[in-house]
Amino acid sequence: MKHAQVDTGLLVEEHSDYLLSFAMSKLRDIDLSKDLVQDTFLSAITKIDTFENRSNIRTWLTSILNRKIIDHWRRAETRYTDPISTFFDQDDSNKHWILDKKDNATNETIEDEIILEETNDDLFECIGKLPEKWKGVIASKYLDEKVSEDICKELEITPSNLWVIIHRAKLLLRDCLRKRDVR
Amino acid sequence: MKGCQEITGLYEQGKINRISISDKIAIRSHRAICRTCRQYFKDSDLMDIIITKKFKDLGNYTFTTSEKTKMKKELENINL
Repeated sequence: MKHAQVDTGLLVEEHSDYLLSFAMSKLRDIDLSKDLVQDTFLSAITKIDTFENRSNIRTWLTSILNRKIIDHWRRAETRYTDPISTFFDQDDSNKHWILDKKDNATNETIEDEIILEETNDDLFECIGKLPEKWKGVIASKYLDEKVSEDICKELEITPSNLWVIIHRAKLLLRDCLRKRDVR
Repeated sequence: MKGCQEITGLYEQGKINRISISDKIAIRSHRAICRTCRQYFKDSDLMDIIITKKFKDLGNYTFTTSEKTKMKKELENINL
């Protein structure tokens, strides 16, 4: 068998850490990332016959991992218990609050805190709290810088769903960062 | 008149898809009178920049030696 020729030890030694970092950059969940990297090696070993030497083995492994990450997001539950940001009143009767709220904390800038280096951890912790599918949208948009059509196709969402998710995610991230600042 | 939620949503939509001229006008006129939404627009643009930047910093994560050994053993068994 062709796949029997693969040195699995070398494969793990040379690529596992890179793949783990790659998965973590998208998933921000260490256990899940480790699981998916292991699954990637499993798939790679069983599909090694389909590997064409035209591409680098790391590129090939990364593409398998990426596929698994997208499948994870696609399967993920989109429902979120409280997707409404405190930016808006839950009560629709108070939609026109333009002047009433001008002194509210929402007027404060997040600029100062967001540019600080320590925001790094906070930001990813806040992203980690978003529903899985939303994380997928955020990672595809900001990390892979994919065009909207590709994101929608991969994650099986409609274009209007896409901007609604980004809008809600940004509101929640904003709230989350602000709360952490207050704490 | 559109409320803040609708206006900030339109703002995000405008970054992704094409929006109508009337929606663009609605955003502009709302921006002129609403400090909160002006702040949202500013934060939203800033978040675009900062999330992109932070995502690019691929952290260094590693498997422990025992995890690697376990993984190698499991894969070798499949490879038989």
